[in-house]
Amino acid sequence: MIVNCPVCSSDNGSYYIATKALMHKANQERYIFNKCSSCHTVFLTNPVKEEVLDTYYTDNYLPYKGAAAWGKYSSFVARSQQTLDFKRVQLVARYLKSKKVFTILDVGCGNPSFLNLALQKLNAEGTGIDFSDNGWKNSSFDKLRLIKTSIANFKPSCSFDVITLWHYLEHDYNLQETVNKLYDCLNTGGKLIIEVPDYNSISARKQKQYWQGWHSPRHMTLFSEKSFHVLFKSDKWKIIDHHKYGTLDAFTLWWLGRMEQQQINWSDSMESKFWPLVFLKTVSFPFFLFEKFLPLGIQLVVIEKK
Amino acid sequence: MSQIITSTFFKVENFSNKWWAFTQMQFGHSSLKNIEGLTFYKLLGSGAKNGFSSIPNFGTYVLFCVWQSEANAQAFFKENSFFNAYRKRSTELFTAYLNTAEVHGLWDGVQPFKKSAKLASDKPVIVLTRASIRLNKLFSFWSKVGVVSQSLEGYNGLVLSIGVGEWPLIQQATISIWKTQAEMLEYAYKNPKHREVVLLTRKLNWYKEEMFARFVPSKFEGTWNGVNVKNLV
Repeated sequence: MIVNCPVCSSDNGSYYIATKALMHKANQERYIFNKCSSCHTVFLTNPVKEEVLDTYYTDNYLPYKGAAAWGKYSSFVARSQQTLDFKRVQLVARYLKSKKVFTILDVGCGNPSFLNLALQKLNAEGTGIDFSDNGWKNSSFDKLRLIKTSIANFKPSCSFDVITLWHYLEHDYNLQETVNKLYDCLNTGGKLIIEVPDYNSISARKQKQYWQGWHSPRHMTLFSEKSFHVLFKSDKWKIIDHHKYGTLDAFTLWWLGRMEQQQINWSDSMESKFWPLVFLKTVSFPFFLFEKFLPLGIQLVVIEKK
Repeated sequence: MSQIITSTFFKVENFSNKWWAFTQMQFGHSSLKNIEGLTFYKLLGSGAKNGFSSIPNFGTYVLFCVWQSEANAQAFFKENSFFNAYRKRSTELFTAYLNTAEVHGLWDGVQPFKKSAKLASDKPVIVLTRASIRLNKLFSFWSKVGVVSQSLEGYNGLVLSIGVGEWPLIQQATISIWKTQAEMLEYAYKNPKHREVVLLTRKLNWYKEEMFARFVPSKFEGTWNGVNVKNLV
């Protein structure tokens, strides 16, 4: 059992929530999250060993199946992935407007479509790392440097102007070491762009144990605003922006939680869910327009190396 | 040879089975004498509204036993005519096998449990609370207990909770099965209605004898409400 907060090491935490294994076959597993009284980080107290984590990333894991899971509607879903990549590229461009050519590292890149778009649109030299090469082994990304490795074992050949972590940091088993590694990999003045779920959001409060931000047992840490200030110490880092929204659509996270509540079979085709999803997206559209003003489930932090 | 506790829940339907089960609250004791390895037992009836009512529920009963060993329990379940008659008359039953982790207080002047297990915050736990209520406090007790039972409904992590007793109104027990110790503690210490009743218990001195025990389940056999209980925990 983990009793110490992975961010501030305090052992002054208490029970926060329990969930079963999410986005997984029917199970009676139980994962306990505690909340640190000191920095308000929420962390998994009974993680599975890293060696058995593969069990939760099967071929049926929805993010791995990607657009293909949606059968005849896959082209619509593929287009929404392109939109997401475009939003991310635009965001990176916003924070690196002075640079004509820059180096970018995407940690936990999966299918490196974002890096590929960054290469095309921003003239970026892209490197992607992931513990699995499932995301790229059947595709051709000649101009990208893709490495199957963990952040701990990554040996960069250059330092980077920007490092992106799109829904990676909450998975990390060794946060302190990872932050140190990120520091070493980044140029002075370089930016870290981190997108993670926000447990302090409306969707998390409403969906409780079904909220996909827990993503048990894959997510180890759910961050508060204070978590980032503790983890990225002010002598080395400067937090430039902290948004209570991100590039990932908050509706998507909410909808996944709704599916969890309905106990769908995650290995089934999602085809039959397409039109109900479109309907829900349409009727809830006015609410999710407030994404930038209400905490709806995603947070994004931009941090600069001093 | 280590002690094992079994708690068997019986569900009976139709008038003749309910009547038979009800009469066993008195006559069943003769069948439970001189059972090899049985060191302590209780035959318990239940209340309506999931057990937390002063009105009896004639459809649910519990046989709670403390055994010298699991082999003794297995032999009893296999061969004992009383138990087999109960099994035949039940539409559903399940047995939880338990090891004692924590115990405080007495049950009829004795403490029958030997500690043999450790609780883990992410593992299932079964909680037994029982008390003999002072006769002059009955109204005060029963006017408050409903609030606690309502606070249990739909609580995250609660698999099953049932209010049982040896005698209606005055001898009350609760057996609750939780998916994890962490969720049980969350309820016990943070649920405002439960906390209020705990405080009232101390303030109003409802009980002349009480016991509180936590058990680690080692296995479940049988079904409840159509579901294999081991799939619920």
